[in-house]
Amino acid sequence: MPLWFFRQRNHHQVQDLLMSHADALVAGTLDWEALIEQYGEVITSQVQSLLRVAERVSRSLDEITPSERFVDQLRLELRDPDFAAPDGWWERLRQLSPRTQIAAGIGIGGVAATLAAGVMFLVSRRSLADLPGFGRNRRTVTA
Amino acid sequence: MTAPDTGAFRDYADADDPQLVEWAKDDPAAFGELYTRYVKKIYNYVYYRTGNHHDAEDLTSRVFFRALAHISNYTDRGVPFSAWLYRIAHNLVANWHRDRGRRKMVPLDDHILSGLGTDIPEAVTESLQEEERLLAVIRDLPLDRQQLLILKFVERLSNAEIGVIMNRTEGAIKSLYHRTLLSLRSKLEQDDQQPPPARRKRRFKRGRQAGNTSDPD
Repeated sequence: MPLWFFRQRNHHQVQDLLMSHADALVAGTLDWEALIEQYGEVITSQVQSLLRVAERVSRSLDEITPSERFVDQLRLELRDPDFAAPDGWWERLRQLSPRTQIAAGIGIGGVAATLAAGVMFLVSRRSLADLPGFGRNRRTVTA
Repeated sequence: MTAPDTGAFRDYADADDPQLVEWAKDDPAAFGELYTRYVKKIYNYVYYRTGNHHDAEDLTSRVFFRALAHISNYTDRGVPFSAWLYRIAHNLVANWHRDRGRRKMVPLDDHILSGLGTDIPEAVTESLQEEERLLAVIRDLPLDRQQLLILKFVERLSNAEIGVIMNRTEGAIKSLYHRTLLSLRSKLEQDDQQPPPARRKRRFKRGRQAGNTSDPD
């Protein structure tokens, strides 16, 4: 058998060992003797160090319980479809980063200012046009 | 939540997920049962991906509102309902990271330090710092590796279930887990070579429940 075949087989065995170990950690049924019996030939010091890392991860990632207040409140909100606001535009805006919110504010402000300036320009032109002699002077100039 | 006037008694507690999903299309009480079954799991998933209770609550509620809004279009294609929920959660968390650009913040202090008194022996403090360091390293991993660790160790799902949620084969999940451990080991070894942080005694909060701890942000 070529060397690559054994390496590949060992590689798969290591993966199987790591997964069996993780499943046993999660289930609380870790049995080292059984693991050694099944995967003894691939348990090198390198693999042992990976198993230790997995055990640390397992210890660190505990289950968290959300607060009862939150769970009950959300249940109430889900009962009332009209309460389903989180996907509304205001909620979406609120979820944006402060930088994006400022940029959006400046953009909206700019558009509003441009519209207001345009309206004022039109109104002022109209009121100037209503002044007696405004049109005549203009015609004189263009002529 | 009240059942619609179907004229038939519905045993929500004993119904399986596909049955509840069908009922939930026009029956809020059925959706309520699905909510009861999955709120804690989704909350855990989101909490470990965001690192604080405030955002975990916010995103968890968005997951369920989105599920409620789209459940009438849900079609059973052999994928468990839980996988559908986790995918919604995954997308929302990914958007959250993208929008806020703060993937690496997350203190997770309340989680690590909960359930302890105020006077902590030095050995315990060191152990907590070790745990804090490990969680920091986990949060630096690519998102798919973080997702795998959470689904395996927090949600305690089988490889087949994880494969459905992550849209990968079981073989790919095994391989990803192997690479994740190699990467974690390498990062931890790098971390060990750096000088240790100044030891400090901290005041800890009691309580494992989210509501018993204050948000760090």
